[in-house]
Order: sequence, then C-alpha cells, then structure tokens
Amino acid sequence: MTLSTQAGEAFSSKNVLSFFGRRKESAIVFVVFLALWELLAVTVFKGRFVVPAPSNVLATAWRDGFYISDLARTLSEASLGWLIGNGIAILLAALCLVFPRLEAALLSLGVMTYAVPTVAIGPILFIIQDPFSAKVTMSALSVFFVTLIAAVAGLRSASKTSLELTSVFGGGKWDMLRRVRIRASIPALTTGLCISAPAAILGAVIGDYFGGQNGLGVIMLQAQEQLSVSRTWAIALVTTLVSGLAYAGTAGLAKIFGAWTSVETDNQSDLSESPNSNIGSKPLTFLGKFMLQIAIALGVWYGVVTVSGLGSYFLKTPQAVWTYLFVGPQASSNLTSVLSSLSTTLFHAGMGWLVGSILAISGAILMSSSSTITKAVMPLVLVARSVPLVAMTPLIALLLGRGLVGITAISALVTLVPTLVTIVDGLKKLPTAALNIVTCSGGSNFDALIKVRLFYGLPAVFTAAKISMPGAILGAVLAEWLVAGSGIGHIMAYDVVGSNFANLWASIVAIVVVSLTLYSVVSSAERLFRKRFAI
Amino acid sequence: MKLALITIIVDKRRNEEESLLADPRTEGEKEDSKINGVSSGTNADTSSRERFFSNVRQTTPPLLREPMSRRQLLGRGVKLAGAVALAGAIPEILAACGSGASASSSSSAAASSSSALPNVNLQLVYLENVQFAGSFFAEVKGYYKDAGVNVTLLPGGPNLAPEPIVQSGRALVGITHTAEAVQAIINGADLKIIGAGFQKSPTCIASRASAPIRNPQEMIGKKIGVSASNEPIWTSFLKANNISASEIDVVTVGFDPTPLATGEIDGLVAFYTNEPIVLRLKGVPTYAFLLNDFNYPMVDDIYICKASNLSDAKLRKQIIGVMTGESRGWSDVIANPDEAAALAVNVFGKSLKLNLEQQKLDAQEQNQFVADSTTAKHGLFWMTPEVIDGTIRSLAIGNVDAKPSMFTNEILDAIYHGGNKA
Repeated sequence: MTLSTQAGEAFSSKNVLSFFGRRKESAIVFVVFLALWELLAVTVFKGRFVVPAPSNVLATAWRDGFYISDLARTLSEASLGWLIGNGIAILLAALCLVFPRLEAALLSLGVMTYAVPTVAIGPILFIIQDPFSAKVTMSALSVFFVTLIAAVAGLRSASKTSLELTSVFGGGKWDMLRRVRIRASIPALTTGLCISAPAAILGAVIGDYFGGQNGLGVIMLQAQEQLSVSRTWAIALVTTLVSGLAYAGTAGLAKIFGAWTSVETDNQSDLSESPNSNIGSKPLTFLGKFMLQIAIALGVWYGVVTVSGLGSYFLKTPQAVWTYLFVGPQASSNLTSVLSSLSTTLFHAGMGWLVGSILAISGAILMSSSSTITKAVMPLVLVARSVPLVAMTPLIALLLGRGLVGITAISALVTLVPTLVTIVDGLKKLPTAALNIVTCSGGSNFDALIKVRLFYGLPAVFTAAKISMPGAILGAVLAEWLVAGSGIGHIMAYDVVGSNFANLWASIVAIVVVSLTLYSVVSSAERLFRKRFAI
Repeated sequence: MKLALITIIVDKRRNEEESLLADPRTEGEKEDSKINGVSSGTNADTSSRERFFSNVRQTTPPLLREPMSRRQLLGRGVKLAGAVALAGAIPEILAACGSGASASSSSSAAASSSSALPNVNLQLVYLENVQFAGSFFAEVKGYYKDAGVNVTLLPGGPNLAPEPIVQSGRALVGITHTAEAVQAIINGADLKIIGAGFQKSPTCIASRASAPIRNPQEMIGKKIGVSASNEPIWTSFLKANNISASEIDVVTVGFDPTPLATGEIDGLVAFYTNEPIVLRLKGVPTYAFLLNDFNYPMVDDIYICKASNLSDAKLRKQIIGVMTGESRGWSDVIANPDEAAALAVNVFGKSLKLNLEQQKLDAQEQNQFVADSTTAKHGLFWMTPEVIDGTIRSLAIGNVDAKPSMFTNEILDAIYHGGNKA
C-alpha cells in the first residue's frame, strides 16, 4: 500500500542504529537535496503547478500551523491501529511457535491482509464500522503482516544451544517460548514495530480518502482539489516527517528499554521459513500448503460474512463469487473481463518489480562495495520509506505520465526500498571465513563481491521477493486506482462507485490468489535453494 | 426571539471544536453539561458527536428530559448573547437569525429538548464544503431539530460511495450522484431517490479559456481528462452526442485539476462549481459547457433513502424531518450564498482550510443548479415527470436502465403538501 508497509527489510536493528550514527553524511545529502529541489522548482517547474520550492512549502506549513489538529487526529487513529494490529500479530506469532502446525496458516492469513488492497475493502469497513474505527482498522491491517513476519522470524531466531539447554532441563515448548524465544525475538520484533509505525500512519491517511472532517488525508485531498500545490506538499512533508519521527521514536523507546542488548541468536533463519518449523509434523508438500491457505482464506471469508451480519448486497459469499465467475448466466464474460484486467495489472506490477529489483540489486552491490555511498544513501532510503505513496502518486503521474511508465515507476518504488534494505543486509551477513579465503588468495574486493557476496546474498533476494512481489502488485493496483485508466485497480474504483460488489469481490479474490501463489512459489524456491547450498 | 435563536445555534454546534462562536459556545457547553448531567466531549469527530448525543439520551434523568422552561432558555440566551457581543462574532449569522425568527418561533422548546429527538445520519458525497451549505444552515439554525430529528452530517470522500452507507442503515439519508444511485438499485440495493438537490447536473467539460472547447464536437482529437468516478457519465455523454470514444484521447485523472492547468490535458470532466473556479482563482481562466445542455439532461446531488423505510411510519417521519431541514437550509443558501460560504469556511470545513473567495463563487454559481422555475413552482428538490424522464433517457444511453419507479416525490409531497407552493 505504501512504501513503508514493506516488510521485506532485514529485521535487524543495524539500520536504525546506523541512521543516528551517520549524521554528517546525511546532513550533506539532505542539504544538497534541498538545494537541488529549490533550484528545479524555480527553473524547470516554474509556472507549472507541480513542484513548489521548498522555501515556499515551509512557509505554507508555518502559516497553516503545521496542521496540528489534523496531525493529532491521524496520530490517534494510527496509534490505536498500531497497538491493535501489532498486538494481534505478536499473539499469533507466539501461537505459531507453540503450535507449529498453525504457522503456514497464519502466515498466509498475513499475506492475505497484505495482498488485499486497503482501498478495496475500505468501502466495506466504512459500512461495518463508524469512520473512526474504520480508519483504525485500516491502520491495523497495514501493520499486521509486517509485525507478524518480524515476530515469527524473531521468535525463531533463538539459538539452538539455548533451546536445547531448556529441553535438557526438562522444559517443554511453552518454557522455550517463555524463557528463550521471547528474549531472542526482541531485536527483530523491535525492527518490525519500528517499520509498522509509519505504516500505521499511512493506513490512517488512506482511510481519510473515504471521508472525514479532519486528518492529514482529508486536508491533503482538499488541498489537491483546490490546487494548493504548496499546501499539498507541505502536508505530504509533515506526514513524512511525522512518519519518520514515529519510526525513530519507536526505535528510541526500544533502545531506552534496552531492546538491543545483544542476544544470542541464530543468524541462519532470519526471514526464511526455517526447515525445523515443521518439527513433529509431517512436512507439508507445496500443494498441501497451498490448499491449506485456500481453505483458511475461505474460512476467514465466511467468518467475515457471518460476523458482519451484512446483507448479500455488499458481502458476496465464496459461492456468489464462484457463480459470478464460473456458473452464472454471464459467467464467461465476467471471468474474461476480470482476467483481462488482472493481466494488465500483472504486466504493470511485473514491469515495476523488475525495474525496482534491478535498481535495488545494483544499489545494494554499490553500497556493499563502498561504505561512503551506504552512509550517504541509506538515510534517504529510510526517508523514502516514510513518504506517503498517496501523495506521491499524482506527482509521479504528472512527471512520468499516466501510462505504463508512470505506473511502472510507482510499482518500482514500492519494490525498490524493501528489496534494497533486505539485500544490503543479506550481503553483510556472510561468513567472514569465506571472505578471508578470497582475500588471502589475493582476490580483490570485486572478486569477493562476485564470488562470495552475491552467492550469499541470493537468499536475501528470495526473501525480498516474497514481500516485494505482492507489494509490486499492490503498488500497481493503487496506481491504477488513482491515475491509470486500465487494470484491475481501475475496475475496482469503478465497481465501488457503481455498487458492483460482485465484480469488486471477484477482483479482490483474483488479486489475493495471485499474491498467495507468488508468495508460496517464492517461499518454496527459497527453501529449496537454502537446502541445496546449505546456507 | 433573537436570543433564543442564538441559544439554538450554540446548541447545534456545541461539539464543533472550531466554531466562529468559540467563546459563547464554550459557555453553552458548560450549560448543557450541567443541565444534562453529562460532561460534553469537544471532539469535532462525527462519531464522537454521535456518541455524545447518545450519551445524553441514555444518561439524562427523566425529569431533565422535559422541555426547558422558557425562562431558563431566555436566561441562557442572555448570557450567550453577551458573550457573542463581547466576542464580536459573525454578524451575518445573527442577522440571519433575526430574519428567520418568525419561522421558528415555536421551535425553541423542541430544540431545547433535543436529547429526546431521534439521532440520524446524513451521508454527504464529499468533504464538508459549500456543496452542502443547505445542510450546514439546517444544522446551525436548528431546522432539523425543528423538524424533529437530530442530524449528524457524515462527510464523504473520493473513495466513498454513499449508497452502501444508506443501504446498510448507517445513514438514514444520503446525498449522491444519480447514475451511481441508479446503478446501485439495479445491483440490488433497496433505495429510492426522494429529491434532487440540483435540477441539472453541474458536470461540465472545462477547458482553458485560451483554448476553449465549446461543445462536444470540439472534443474530438483532444486530450480529455476523466476521473474514474466520472467514467459512467462520460461514456454515456459521448454516446448521447454520437461521438465514438476512439475519436478522443481519454486520460484518466485524479480529482485535482492540475493537469488542465499544466496543459497535460485539453479538457477535463469537472464540476461547474468547483474546478473552473479553483483554476480561475489560480489565474487560469476556463471555459466550460454543461453536459446537461448537450443531449444529456440529468438531475444531480440527489437524496436517497432506503425504500423500505418509506413504509415505516416512524422512519418515514424522520426522513421527512431531514428533508424539511434540507429544504429550509437551502432556501437560506439561495438567499445568502456569501453567508453559506462563510459557514462552510469558518465552521464546518474549518479544518479543511477552504478558500473563502472560492467558496463564495462556488455558492453563487451553485444556486442556479438548485433553484429554477421548477423549484419556484413546486418547491426545492422537486422532480417533475419531465426532469425524471430526461434523466432516465440520458442514463439509458449508457445502458443504465433507470425506471420511473426509482424516483418518488412522496417525501417532498408531504413537506410541500401537494408539491405546489403557490
């Protein structure tokens, strides 16, 4: 949904810590960036209603009082959403470890909440709940998956020695969880909580697109409609700043509480589905797992239909969608139209993912070979993660057009940041022994990169892909919803205004099925790869 | 009477955090708190407003639910009037209160016992700007309460469809666009169109005045921006004028008119009362023609409610109450668009930082859509058979199969007693 909802970052605390440690380089990059912006604004973009000068933006923000009341409103929604979403995610993650059989099911539930575009279920939420609660829910949904993955990875990162020790002393799974895993999970979990802070804010901002009296999204909408370009930017800036502060603040709090005292962990299994997660149960085959995911999806779906108590007018049951797509009177034309818009979206997303991944990998390689580049670029990457995509989309569309290029750019942006961070982290995590061998045999840094780093960095590419593939689809859907005239996102926007709920549900199903499939395929590929090369 | 009315104003907006009547309103809140025995929330959020009122209902002891005595009311009024004078607050509203006094002389008692009135929601189709000024007047001046309902306005947004909100019962009445409402009914929603806020649709094709597009034929070969929500109207409008979609370079746009200003597009499907004015104030003069004037007659900003509610005596009364408030509110807008703009900018849309100049122009232009010879004869929102027929024919072009039975004047009939003002 947003740049920041990406869970693909390596769940380590290093990025955050180093962010504070790189003040000088960051400051230089920041100043250069501002100067360039000012220059462009008064030259290239002069007279166009696109890019106001930063000085102008700052003056507007100052005049408008930095949107304090709207900020307070959005933050109250976001903080509640953050608490609820993260609370549920952590509980479920803990449950995963006590009952490993649940893991596949819960993770697919997580992927589902991640893959369903918030813009698409917003209309339903606003029927079931009052506007405030609906925005809290949207905010909670935006953080759930990020933290679930982080918490599962963290809880699993406990060192084998500690676990075995607990076992030897007669401790069961429960004791392992209580005495070892929770301690071990803290670093990864903290990063998850940090990342989800801006994600929660952006979830609430998107909620504002469904109406409201105040809130950052509400005033951003009004500013855009009134063509108050500098105000639009000022609000985007304030949102970004606050998102960044929420990130840093969470990190700071965690530091105060000593969350980053070193814990003995197993580096091996940070984000991968560890091979021992199925201990005591027969490993599920790929197909079995996939079927399980479908079953869970259907279960949740029926649950929502039953619990909400809404009529069949809004909430279509799985049968209704089945009828709509496969057996009804116009089934074949319905199916064709859903599939054709889906394929357009997948093309957009695929292009975006490809461009984003290539940029990310090249960036990661550059950064791994020069610490100066890393120091200079990383803070910008962290800031980029906090920029509300909703605010960026119209700008990107204006600069790059509303066709394939614009949509690809948006989709690529969604892919780029998490992939970059994950791979940079993956490249760092390699056996020193392997590097030493290259160096001792007279190999250059370049040799080390080619022969060792890339090989060991490959799993990180898989890890990133698990998240960035659904992310790219989501980015494409949002871009289509907001700016493009094609694709499933465009069709869904059309469905909402025309109350064509059957097609809306069918489209959501199509997106979720594709995202789940991609996630499962990449997970399996990743597992195979790790097994084969024993990394 | 003036004093009593000030009380009502204060009463209505007691939960609005940032009102022009800031000081007196705080007084009013304190008073209300004492009287009702609850502490009042000052959150501007609609839901908490809603919650607040339901609190009042539940916690007010039976004795206090009695209408306030005239003396109490006047006493409050005096205090408040003093406060207003001290604060030097909006003279327009006070003046309006004076002029409207005769109409609501019997209403003070009803308004003061507002805790006993049913709470209903009115779902707007967009954010609270001057497009809904009639509702603002109705709330501020107590027209809804006079008509026996406590109305909470629910602001909409670009991604919100009011039809499901009304269908689900979350709102009793909704303001929405015609094609969307009809589409919802076709898709199984149990809704009825009970009035037309705009006798003709303000949907227009706006172009830069330096390169004007004066009629549908001139769109051929040009780049026209259409937002996703305007798609259905756009498609049928082309058919109505025998233009094939392939003859025009259609660009999907968002909700802001920037692309027209920058020249990215030549024309924009817009709202006559919105984008052209915004652009004009930005120094980009525009030309605009109404779709309504080129083979595409259509009512707009229509009121919808659940069809089944019309046969429920209690709910029907509430719907009549909402529409009575709307009717009186819009009469005020027509009489005084500048004041309507001030209300939108300073009270309801305060946090939106609306531009007063723009809202004033908007309100002035908007009135031509609300009031015309039809409404002069039958009353505001009235839908004549000709108007309904034109709308149905326009919709039919886009294969939207509207039926006369989807429209009903029965609520307006009950308000205007026969739909003949004269």
